[in-house]
Amino acid sequence: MTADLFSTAIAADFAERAISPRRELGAYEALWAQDGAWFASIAEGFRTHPGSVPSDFVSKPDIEKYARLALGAIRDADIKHFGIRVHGAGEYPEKLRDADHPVELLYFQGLWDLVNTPSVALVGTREPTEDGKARAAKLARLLVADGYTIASGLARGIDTIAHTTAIAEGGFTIAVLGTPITECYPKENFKLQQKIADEHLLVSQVPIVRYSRQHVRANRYFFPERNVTMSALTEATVIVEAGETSGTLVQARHALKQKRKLFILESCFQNPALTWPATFEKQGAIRVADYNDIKRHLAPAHSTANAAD
Amino acid sequence: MQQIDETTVGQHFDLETSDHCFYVWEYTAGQRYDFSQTNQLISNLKIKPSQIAATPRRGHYKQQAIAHCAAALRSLIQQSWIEQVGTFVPMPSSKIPGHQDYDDRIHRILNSAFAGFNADIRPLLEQTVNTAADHESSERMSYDELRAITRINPVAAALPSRANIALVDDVLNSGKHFKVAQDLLSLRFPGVPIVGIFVSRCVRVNPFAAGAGAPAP
Repeated sequence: MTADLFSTAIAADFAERAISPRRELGAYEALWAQDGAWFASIAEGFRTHPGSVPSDFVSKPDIEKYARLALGAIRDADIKHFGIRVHGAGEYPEKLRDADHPVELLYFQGLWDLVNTPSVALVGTREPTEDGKARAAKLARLLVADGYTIASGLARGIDTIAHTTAIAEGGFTIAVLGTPITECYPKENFKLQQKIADEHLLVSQVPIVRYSRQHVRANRYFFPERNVTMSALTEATVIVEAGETSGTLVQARHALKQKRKLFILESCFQNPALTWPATFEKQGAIRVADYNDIKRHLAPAHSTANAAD
Repeated sequence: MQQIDETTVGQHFDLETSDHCFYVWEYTAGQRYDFSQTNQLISNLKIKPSQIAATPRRGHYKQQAIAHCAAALRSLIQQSWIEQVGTFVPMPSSKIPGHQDYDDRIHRILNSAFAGFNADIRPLLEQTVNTAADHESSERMSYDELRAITRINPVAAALPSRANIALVDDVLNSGKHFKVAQDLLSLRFPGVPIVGIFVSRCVRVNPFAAGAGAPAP
């Protein structure tokens, strides 16, 4: 009996559902390589076939082909350690199911269990004002001091300040990427991305092969989608500063939809050019003057989960 | 249950790609017991009998951990496999019976998991001398050293095994204990496929980073 046949027989026999990460990531990449595949269409496939995993929908040769391509790209990117989480296997975070089109598979690097720590997403514009920068840093510092993990999207501006402040303050941080783990955007955050991958947690739902095959214009649609997942992974989102058309507002919308707390800083309301703060406030967002207003609405973090402990 | 495959086998240095190992959760090395649910679980599972003798309430935590692992194994392994296909072999304690820290926790997990089933649970392996538990020792035994002090229990091995053997342990680390047990069992039961079932696999986040293994700041 060949090793592969043996493996299949054992796996089929022995466990109700033995998940092979290689098989599932190959299948996930293959699903994404299909014409027109997007978060909604893939999630719909799983919704109509409850209990399925990616490999239930893909032929073995395709699984093999895409597993090789994806793992090859991971090797080429010099990634020494990574993991995946699959819906239906151990350690998949059930809170992701609160998203509109929950992802069935995630790539990650670093300390996976940070997803189980009390966490708050700090997000905002890529071009913050000096005041905005100072507010982001202050909030990150105070949240870390109270034991929260800081999630953000590794973008320029507020995101970068959120991550770097959390690290500088001895806290933990989670970066939810809008690129595959094999890419870095913006390039200037390469070292930060590596540090987070090595000592904190980096998460990406973006398929490696599909991303590598399509134009950068098409790939930018992955960025707002990661905000949906970031919101689902955290218990609250704070919008520090954002323009009328900012991608950050995607996260605001989905935070409310997912029944997560959404905090909007008073300074956003004071800006006469912005209409979104009032709109989201009507829908349930919490207007906050200072950190104490945020803290009041959050469940206390366990001090033992804090890196500073 | 997840399978060790190309994406993970390299983190368990003694395993080969042809090995069939499965695990339920991931234990994070270099972090405290309270870093994650699995770290807490494994820490409670490894409470020593001597620690329980000193502080009896700790026995309660160990028992809870055993029950938790048992429930997971029961829910993840098919009944037909439990009752007809598999012979379950607990990894032996690093102490021999009679030692104050002889710990049959894996055997207890299996007994609890498959209570009421017609399961073949057999402690086929034993150590011939007491050793420090690998996870507590700075100088870990080599494969050859471990193999030299591990043997088949002739009484338990008197009957043939079922069609497959499942070696069961709480943490898959390098895979050395699995490989020693696999080697000994395949000599005693030639041709019987052997799988490894682990409550957790040990994850080192970045084994290549300077200072890896140190707790987070």
